[in-house]
Amino acid sequence: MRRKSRNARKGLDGLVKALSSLAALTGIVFLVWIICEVLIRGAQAFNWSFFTALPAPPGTERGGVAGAILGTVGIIALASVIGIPVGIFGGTYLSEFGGNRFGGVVRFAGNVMMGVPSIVIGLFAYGVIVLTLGHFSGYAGAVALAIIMLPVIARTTEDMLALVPNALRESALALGSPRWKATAAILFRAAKSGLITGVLLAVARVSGETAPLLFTALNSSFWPRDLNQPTANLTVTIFNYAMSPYQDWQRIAWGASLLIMAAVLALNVFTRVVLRERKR
Amino acid sequence: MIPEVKSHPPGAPEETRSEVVSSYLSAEVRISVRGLNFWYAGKQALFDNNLEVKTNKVTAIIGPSGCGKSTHIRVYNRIYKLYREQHAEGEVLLDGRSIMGEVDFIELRRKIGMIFQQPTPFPMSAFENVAYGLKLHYRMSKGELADRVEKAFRDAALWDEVKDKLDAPATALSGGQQQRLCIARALAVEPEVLLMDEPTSAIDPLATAKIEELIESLKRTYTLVIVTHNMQQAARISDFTAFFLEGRVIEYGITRQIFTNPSRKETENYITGRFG
Amino acid sequence: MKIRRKKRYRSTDVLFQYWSAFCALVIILVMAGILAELAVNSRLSLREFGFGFLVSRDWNPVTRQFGALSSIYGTLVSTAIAMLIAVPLSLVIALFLVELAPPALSKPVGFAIELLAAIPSIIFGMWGLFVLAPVMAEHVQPALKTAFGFLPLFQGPPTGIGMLTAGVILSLMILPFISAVMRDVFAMVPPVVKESAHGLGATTWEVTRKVTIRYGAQGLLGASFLGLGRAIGETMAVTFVIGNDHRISASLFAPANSIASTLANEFSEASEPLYLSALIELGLVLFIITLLIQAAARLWLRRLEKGAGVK
Repeated sequence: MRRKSRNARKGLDGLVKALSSLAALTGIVFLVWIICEVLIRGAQAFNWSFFTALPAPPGTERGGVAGAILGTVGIIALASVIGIPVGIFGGTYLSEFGGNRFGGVVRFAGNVMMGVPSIVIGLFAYGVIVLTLGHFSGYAGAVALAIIMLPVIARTTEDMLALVPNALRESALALGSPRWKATAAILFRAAKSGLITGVLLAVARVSGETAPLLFTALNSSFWPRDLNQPTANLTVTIFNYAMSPYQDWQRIAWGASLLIMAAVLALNVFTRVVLRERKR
Repeated sequence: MIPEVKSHPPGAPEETRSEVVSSYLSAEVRISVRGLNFWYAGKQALFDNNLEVKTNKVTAIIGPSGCGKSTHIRVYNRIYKLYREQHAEGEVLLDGRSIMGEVDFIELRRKIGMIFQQPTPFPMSAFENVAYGLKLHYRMSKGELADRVEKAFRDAALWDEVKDKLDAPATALSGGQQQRLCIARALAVEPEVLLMDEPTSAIDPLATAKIEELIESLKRTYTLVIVTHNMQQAARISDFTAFFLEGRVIEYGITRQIFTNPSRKETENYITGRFG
Repeated sequence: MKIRRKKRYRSTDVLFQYWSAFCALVIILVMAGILAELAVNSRLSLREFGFGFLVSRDWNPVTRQFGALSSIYGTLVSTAIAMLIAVPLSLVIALFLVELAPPALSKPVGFAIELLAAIPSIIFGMWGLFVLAPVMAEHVQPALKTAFGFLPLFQGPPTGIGMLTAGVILSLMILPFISAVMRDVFAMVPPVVKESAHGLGATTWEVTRKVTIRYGAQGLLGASFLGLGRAIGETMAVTFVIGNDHRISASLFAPANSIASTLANEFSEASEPLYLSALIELGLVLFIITLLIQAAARLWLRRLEKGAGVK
């Protein structure tokens, strides 16, 4: 029986510790690298016409994403109008009445749905809406995005409501309040910041989605007046322009990327600040 | 209620009282603590602790909950160093050598074993649990490993109960058996000192009695320090007792003396159940 | 009067319960709907190619011969590369966050990793195409070629667009997900268990390797499964850098296609019904694969909750 070398053991321990720190550093390096590249290249695209003009042919240096910005905002707004209420009420059901088998199945379906690739959801919206109506539309895109938001919002709603102590529920009901009023007035208010966080994070998530819009809203070079036809949007614009061989189009793609990234990161940072303040 | 104390230390032959006392006082000192202070994230928890742990004796540490008992013994094996916000200062000597400052943790923790309030079996078989420490420190043949594991189980009075279940998960054992498994695991690496932090508070009374018996036999080979909030237990099994209150060592001495004739008012109040 | 008021309450309460139940039901309906719609719309292709679709290497819109093999191959290989890179990295990052970092460091680092998860896929795609691909082409791939060029894996022109770059981008994308779950798994190990191991004289790595990882083994595997599921369905980042080529090549430098990238690239060009149906069938294949992986991951994690060891 021999004693193992203590120095060898400590050496290995030190090596692993160094590797761990290196790995964590690598993660941060990539994050910073990506953000910086997008910032630098995107900012180069920012000028007056970028924000105010409609898409123009390559080489003219006059094109912009004004229509796409409006289109993205419109599609996301519509998706939110559909997805948020259904998600919140679904999550409320799961939290308040969902201890049964049905609730279990819903939860399982929701979990699985959150893992479905967004492109498949786009295909679903294509089959159900685009094929039925016979044309592409911003409505189909909004529905696809709403479907993506739905399980996320339901899950966070359920989690946040579950955190509200039962005593609060019981005291509201003991006062004679009807269930719906207790929920709306008291529970939602108690879980307010958590619910808002969940919603904002879901919106942030779909803001950057491209794949579902590829087969639904497509893209357009015109102002988004009517969502019942292909609608201009930022993400598909990025896709089309980036894959093109034209320098000025690629620059616009970077500019649009910066817009999207800034919005998404801002929402994420904001929700964390809001939540942290609430916790105090 | 002053707990009943046997008229002579358990297991020892009839001796006169003064002989016992002098043999205790002349026993070797294994761990000596002088001026120990401790902070949790800036908040001081131990104030100027002085204590001596005698070799091959059982030292009990008693006091109301939250008074620093566990914190104190966690300095001995420097397990507090795992947590960056915990900080200790003062002199602590093991066999005359300081364990604060630059010290080989591996060797220190091999020499000083620790048992916790909850049994902490590792997610492996009973055999692998006890072998864990051995495989850490030594390279040995399979046969030798098996022998040493068996010895550790026997020393912990657990061999007969587990010899047929060595490969079963350790979590299948009962609470009392798991605790003795943890003791076997600690004994396997041949420590000098065993620190036990409320070792029986999560165990049923029958298993507790077994572990107390075990402690009795262990002190022949090892030095034991036992934190307990059970005064009767301290009176039953320990040779020396230290009474802690609010991070300070109020009184320390031979168990029988502490329980029958404490010199500090606070000690008397605690022992008679006026608080704690 | 009192009785009338009570009745109104009761009916609105019932309405509330039914409405919220309906919203919950929508989730199940949509999931079933996706499966149904994909199956229905791929029936043309299903009928034409049958099971051969899954193993055919053809993909020719002109001759109207379609097979999923090249796309499936691309999906599997790029995902495998991503997992090979991301899983060990996530493990040590989680280790860093839970065991090694002082609290002042672990919070911002953890936050930074979470931000990485929030970055949309198309941004990764842009960065991958315009920043990473040139770096791969000019530095990484030539280096690999010099060192390991005898392997068929690293042969062929190092263009920077292809399977390897796709795998690298994917690994960056799934890294934050896997490490977040792994971090939670590590944090769940009771401190007393870790202290017991340390108390025996083990180094931090020895405690992690033999005790912590064993304790959380099921959770760590579940985390990897979740990452796997995400990598398989990832579209935009992969589409930008994988090269859009229906070929099965031994070289990692070669361009390829994943199921998702095929769909993204070719859907707008699919003019005739069989082409479209074949693409939708690809989507069905992808859906079923992710379903299976997700179900396996969830069931695995559920077993973890009936844990072992110290309570």
